Amino acid sequence: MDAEFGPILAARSAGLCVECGKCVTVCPMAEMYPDFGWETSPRGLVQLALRGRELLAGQGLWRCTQCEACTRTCPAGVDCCGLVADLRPLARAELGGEPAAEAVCAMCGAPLPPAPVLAYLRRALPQVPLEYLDLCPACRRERYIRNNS
Amino acid sequence: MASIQESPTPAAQAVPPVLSKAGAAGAEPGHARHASLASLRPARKPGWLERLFPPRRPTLVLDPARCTGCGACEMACSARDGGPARPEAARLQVLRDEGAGGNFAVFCQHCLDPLCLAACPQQAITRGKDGIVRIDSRLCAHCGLCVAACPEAAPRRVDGRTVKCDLCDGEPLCVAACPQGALSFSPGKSVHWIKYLRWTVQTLAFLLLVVVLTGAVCSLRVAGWSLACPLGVLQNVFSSKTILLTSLAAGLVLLVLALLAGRLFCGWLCPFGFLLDLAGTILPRRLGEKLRLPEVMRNRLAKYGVAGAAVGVSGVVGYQAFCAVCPIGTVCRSYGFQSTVAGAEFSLIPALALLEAGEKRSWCRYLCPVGALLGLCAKVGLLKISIGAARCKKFSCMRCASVCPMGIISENDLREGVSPRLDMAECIGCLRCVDICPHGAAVIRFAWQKSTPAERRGPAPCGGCAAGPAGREGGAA
Repeated sequence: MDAEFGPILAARSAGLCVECGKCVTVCPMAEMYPDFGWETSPRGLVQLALRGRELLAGQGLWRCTQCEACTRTCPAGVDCCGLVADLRPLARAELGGEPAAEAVCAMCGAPLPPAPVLAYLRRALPQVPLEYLDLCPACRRERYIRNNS
Repeated sequence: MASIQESPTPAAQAVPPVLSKAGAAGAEPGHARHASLASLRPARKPGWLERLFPPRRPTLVLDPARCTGCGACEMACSARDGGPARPEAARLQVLRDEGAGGNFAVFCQHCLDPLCLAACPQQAITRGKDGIVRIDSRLCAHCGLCVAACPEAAPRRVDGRTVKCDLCDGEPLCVAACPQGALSFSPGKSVHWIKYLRWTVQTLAFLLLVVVLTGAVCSLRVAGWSLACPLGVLQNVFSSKTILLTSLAAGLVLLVLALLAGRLFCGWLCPFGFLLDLAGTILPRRLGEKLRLPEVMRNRLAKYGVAGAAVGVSGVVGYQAFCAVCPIGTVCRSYGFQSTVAGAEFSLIPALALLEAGEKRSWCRYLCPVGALLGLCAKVGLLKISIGAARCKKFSCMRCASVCPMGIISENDLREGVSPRLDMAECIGCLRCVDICPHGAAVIRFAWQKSTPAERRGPAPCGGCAAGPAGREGGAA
């Protein structure tokens, strides 16, 4: 357990996980990704985080939508969602700021959902022009006003 | 922790198939390991009764000209559930444009095919029988994907929860709170009477022009008045090299009608158009994509070419060349005692009618030379159909674009939030768009009246949100 990892795990109470799997049942990722499995589920992410740094190289961290459903449901008090949020900067450094995992708003540069989440949206939405997915909510409204005022 | 490290199980073993029965029956091979909610709660398809009498579609309607940006709607909305009135927690957002002085509100439009519904992994978003799109809070994981999926970002994340307008189940508080009357509630149309009127007129016109007065579209002479197909008259002039004033006048009748009322003939009177509309209603949709004209022929200018060729060839061969194959004339002359039609002339009709399963009115869009002549007159005519920017709900509705048989209402414009302009040379005046628009945005106007103000504008960097989404959201509230 290195110096960066330890405090994060402690702050998010990852060690309290009893692997009950309640987080898995509420996690929307189960419906989003056909290959949803242990290693990309909230429970798996917590357990992998407890094991070490291998987690940072994988895609699992970037699939999370940060909905906090797992945190709300956890009977042991693990803040799984916060754990993922805290580990993402570490993973970013590990991957050398991989651009594929991170998209920003085309107009204002605000961070957008990670690439796997956007990929899910593109799969789920009907085949219509989806350029607006490159914009953050505020900029979408801005554009809508400009087009209509 | 030690025991965990001893068992680095592969995912397939660690997670046994949950609901293996549903997984085995699952449609997608990728979903073999767990049942998807979509397979457990399949989308409901509208029955024939619902398609014939579509349900009302309630929405809020904003008049930006009246909105002063006071935010009373936001206060009323956020306080609905007994909490404190916080504008930033409201389900609708007033956007104040300090520079131009125009205000605008963003709220859920209760789309016909909601993108949020398609994106929701939890299947928590449903479109009720009353037409209201709601989030079921029991199922919602508050993942915020609906916010990301909405082109307007109308659902909002408030304090980690995802909320969305549900029109207060039909009695919106924001409408009651608006002191200027800028917000109004539209329950939507229930009866689309223009549809029934048009089908009646089309049927009567078919009976009159084909059965009672066989061949009436081609030429008709009643009590000294004569009426003729304008293309037939043109062909006649060029083939016989003589100009008869009476026949010219007869040909002008339809052209003058087009000048006054657009291609009304095509949408309401043309017997072949009626047959095409019938075929489009009867033919199953799934034939769709296969039955289309080849890409080369799908050019709206082609019909002018056909008209020119018809007139030119008539001049060369010395008789009305196009009339020999004209489907309108063929239909018109196919019935009754004067029936003069041989078998070969019918060959075009089933082929063109089959195209209706793919693109509606393919003949009228790309090929019909009579429509081309009428279109030239309609282009400079008195009337136009205008889709007003203020009332039009753009991408969230797009009903007009989906019903337009000529396909002239640009879906891309609507998706970009711009009011589409209609080319009257292509509009057949069937008024389907006027009929179906639940917001009264599609209207008949005189050609010189002001219509859609918004021109297509390209994306430009926006200064207002340079502070990032959080700053903008907070600042806007």
